[in-house]
Amino acid sequence: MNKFETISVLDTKYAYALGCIRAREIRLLSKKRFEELISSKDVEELIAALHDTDYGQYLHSINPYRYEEGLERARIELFNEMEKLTDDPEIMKVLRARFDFHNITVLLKGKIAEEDYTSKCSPLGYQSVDELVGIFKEERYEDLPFYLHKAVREGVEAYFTHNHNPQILNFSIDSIMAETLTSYSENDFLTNYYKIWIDITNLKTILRLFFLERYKELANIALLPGGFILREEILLANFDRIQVLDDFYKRTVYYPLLEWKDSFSDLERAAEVLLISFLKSVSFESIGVEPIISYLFIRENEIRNLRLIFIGKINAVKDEVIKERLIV
Amino acid sequence: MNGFWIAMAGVGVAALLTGIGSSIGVGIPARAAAGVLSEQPERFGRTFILVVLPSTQGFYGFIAAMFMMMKLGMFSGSVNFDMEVLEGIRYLMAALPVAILGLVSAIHQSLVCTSGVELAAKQPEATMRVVIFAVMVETYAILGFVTSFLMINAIG
Repeated sequence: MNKFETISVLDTKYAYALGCIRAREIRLLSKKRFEELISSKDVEELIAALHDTDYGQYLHSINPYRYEEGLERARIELFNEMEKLTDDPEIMKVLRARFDFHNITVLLKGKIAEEDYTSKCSPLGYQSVDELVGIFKEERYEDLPFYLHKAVREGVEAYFTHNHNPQILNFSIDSIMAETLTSYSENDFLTNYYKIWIDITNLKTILRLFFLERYKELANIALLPGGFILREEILLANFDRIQVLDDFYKRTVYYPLLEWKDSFSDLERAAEVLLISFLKSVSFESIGVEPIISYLFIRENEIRNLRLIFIGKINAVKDEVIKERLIV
Repeated sequence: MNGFWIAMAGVGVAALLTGIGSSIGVGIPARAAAGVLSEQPERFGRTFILVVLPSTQGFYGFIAAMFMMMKLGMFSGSVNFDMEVLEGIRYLMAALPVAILGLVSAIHQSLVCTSGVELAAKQPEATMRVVIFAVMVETYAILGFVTSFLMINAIG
C-alpha cells in the first residue's frame, strides 16, 4: 500500500474510532488511582471507589463478592464497543480468536470427561458459544472455521497418541492458536504483538519444563510456533543447563526476563510489563488501527489489575503485596 | 495545440489539486473530531479550528485560478483564443507551485491537525500549541500561493 492509499483508505477508516479512543484514554486508571483503590479498607469500599470510573456501572448493583461478573461484563462491553468502533471484522476476528481456542479446548475436555463445561466458555470469542456447543454436541466439527477444525482434529489426535494426557491436548491446540494468530492478521502491529507473546510464552515454558526436568520429553510438543525466535531454533539449541539458555537469549530483548528465572510470579509480571511497553509504543500514533488495538489490550490489563485488587482485598492480602503484583 | 487551452489546464490544475488536498485534509481531522465529540461534546470549539485549517489550501488554489482567469480576460470578455503555446505553458507553470504545494501541505497539515484533535481530547489546554505547528505547515502553502501569484502577474 503506497502512502496516498494509506492516507485515503486506512486513516479515514479509523480516524473516528481513534478520536473516541483518545477521549476514553483519559478515563484509564492511573498508577495513583490504582494505589488509592488498593488502600480501600474492604471490597465494599473498593466498589464505592470505582463508582465514577468506567467500571462503576457494572459493579454498583452486584454483591461485592461477585465482582467477577461485573468485571466480565465490562470486558464483554469493551470488546463489543471496539467491534462497533473499528467496524473491521477481520481485526476483531484475530483479536477474539484466542477466546475461540479457549472455548474449543474447554468443550473438548468436557467431551472427553463426558461433562458439561459450557459455563467455563468465554463469551468473548468470535464464534458464539451456543453455536460451538451445538457443533460439539452433534460432532459437526467440519462446520467450524478451518483453523478451529484443524485445532480440534490435531488436539484429539495428540491426546490419544499421548496416553490420554489433557496437558498434551492443551499444547496441541495452543500450537495451532499461535500459528493462526501470527498468520492471519494483516496488521503488522498485531502480528508482532502475538509474536512477542509467543516468544515470552516459549521462554516461560522452557523454564517451567526445565525445573520440572521434563524439557527433553515435552519441548517438542509444548513450544509454540510463530514467534520471532523460531521454535526450530530453540529445539536445535538443545538446552541442557541454564547457562546454555542464558547464552541463547543474551542477544534478544527477552534476556532481562531471565533475571527473574527463579521466581515464576516475578517472571510473569516482568513479561507482562514487556508486552505493555510494546503496546504503549504506539501511544503517540495519530493514525491507523494500532492505538485502538493497544487500547483494547491496555484495558484488558486494567481489568486484570482490578481483579487482582479484588482478590487481594477479599483474602486480606497486604497492600504492598497487591501493589507489587500490579502491572501499570 | 492552442495556448489558451494549456492556460486553462493551469487554471484547472490550481483549483483541482488544492481542492483535492483540502478535501482529504479536512476529512481526516473531521472524522477524528467526530469521534472526540461523541465522548466530549464540549470540545467542539477546540477541535473546530483544527478541522478547518487544511481547508485554506483549497481557497489559495481557487484564488489563483480566479486570478489566472482574470488575466486571461475571461471576466472582461477579452479572451485571446489564439494564444501562443508558449504563453499557455507560462500559465500552466505558474499554477504548479500553488497546486502541488497546496495538495501536499493540506494532507500533511491534516495529519498534524488530527494529532491536535486527539490531543484536544486529553489535554484541551494544549490545543493552541498544535494550531501553531499546523500553521508552520500552512506557511509552505502560502509560499506556493505567493510564488504562483508573482508568476501569473509576470506573464505579459
